[in-house]
Amino acid sequence: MPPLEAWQKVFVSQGKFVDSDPHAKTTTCIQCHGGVSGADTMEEAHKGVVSDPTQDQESVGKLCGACHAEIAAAQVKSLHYDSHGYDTIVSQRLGDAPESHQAWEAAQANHCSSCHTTCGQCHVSQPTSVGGGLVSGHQFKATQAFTRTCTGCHGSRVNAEYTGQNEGIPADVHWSEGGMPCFKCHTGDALHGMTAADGAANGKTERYDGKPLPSCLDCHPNAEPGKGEIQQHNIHGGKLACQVCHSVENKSCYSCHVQTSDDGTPFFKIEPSVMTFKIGLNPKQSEDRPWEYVTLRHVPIDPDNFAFYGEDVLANFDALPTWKYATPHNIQRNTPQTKTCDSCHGNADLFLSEGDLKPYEIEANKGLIPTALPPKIGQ
Amino acid sequence: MSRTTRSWAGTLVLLSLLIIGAIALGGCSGQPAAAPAAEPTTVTQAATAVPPTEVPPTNTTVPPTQPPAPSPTLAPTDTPAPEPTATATEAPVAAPVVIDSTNCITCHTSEETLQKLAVEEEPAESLSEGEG
Repeated sequence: MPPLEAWQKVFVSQGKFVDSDPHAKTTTCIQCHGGVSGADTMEEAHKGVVSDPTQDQESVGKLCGACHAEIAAAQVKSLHYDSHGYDTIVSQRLGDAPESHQAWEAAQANHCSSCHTTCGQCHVSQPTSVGGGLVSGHQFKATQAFTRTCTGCHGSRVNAEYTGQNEGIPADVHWSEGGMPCFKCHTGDALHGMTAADGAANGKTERYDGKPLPSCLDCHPNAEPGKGEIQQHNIHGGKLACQVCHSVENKSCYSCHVQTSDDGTPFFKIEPSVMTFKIGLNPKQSEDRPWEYVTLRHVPIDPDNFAFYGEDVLANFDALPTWKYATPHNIQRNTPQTKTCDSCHGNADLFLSEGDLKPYEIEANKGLIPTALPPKIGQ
Repeated sequence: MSRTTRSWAGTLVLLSLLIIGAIALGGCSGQPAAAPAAEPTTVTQAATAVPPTEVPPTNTTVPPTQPPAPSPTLAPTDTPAPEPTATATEAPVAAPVVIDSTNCITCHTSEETLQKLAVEEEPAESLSEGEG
């Protein structure tokens, strides 16, 4: 995310916004941001100013929703709007004791609740979590540059994978060859959580809830088994997620411990990330995601993540695996897996095994370890 | 001039004066003369409103052709309230208040002003360790 000086963060363009943006014609600065009209000093003028007026649900409805009613209504229920996706996952590991839930709520408020986005932080400014600042002189843009918005939050893992910033790992072909920004695949409807029938809120409880969005088959329909001429697609397509063959090493994270300082400032400590490529049994196998094998990555959970907030907070730690269903953003046409049949068949290194697990996570991941490897073919 | 001629002339002058007078009284307009104002009548005071011995208020007079005003009552009625209709008699809607933001725009569109006034925030020292 390019750094902005303090004045640049609040600079409003006469040409791009005041004179030409429709939003400047329909409302005034004070109607959205508050403040005092006709004040004599900067301090007085800024009394009551809210830099991002789309931070709360009511304001989204009143301001954005006045013209963009359907989008505003769905957005406040979307995974982007708040951290309910985290809550869906972490709460499954909590113990039954009320203290366990109270500890998680406190930790969530300190460490997770600030991680969300608003209408303004995608369409007008950079995300607050990376310092904020107006992107284009307060001009409202349907799509901003993804380097000023998406990667502010999805930077250390997704952006690094997609744009090839991990040493020795190529960028995603959709970027290196296609130059495709995030929005080419992740549509406005999906980003606003409007993928239910007729654009209604989809009610997703976590990122991989429901059908894959986007799906590789949206653009590559011939890759579906039986619909094209590529033999490997026809043999494997129903059993393997696309990424099993077409993604490469991606980032796994371990042990993110959270706490607050004596003055209440939240902070975290996380172990260094590790580049891994692991195939395992699909922990989310369903009609929507029917594949037997998928790519996995380790998420930074361990039994003591929230130990600062209480004892045994994650008493139900084994409820979910610590290796998670993953869709790495480093897709290649040719990968080490596609070289020969035996690149995968009989290659134990590629498949998750107990040797990849710490003692405390063996039970949680039992369902992901294949009982037998696909046999060598000799090709 | 003979006596007969003088008599005719006098009669003509008298007739002319009568005609002129009639025209003057008629206002020369051809319009009907204004009808005399109807004698104001007092609405009979409803029994539920004030005792019959009380002097009726003088401001409740209405023309005789208009039905008497309904008597005020404190009891709820089953009659539904009339639907509001947009008519010329409807009270005018207050014009939206336009909050002047000229000052905001003047400062925030001026690079020079912002460079003078904007204060760089000291980045807080983060206690966090590792990739976020």
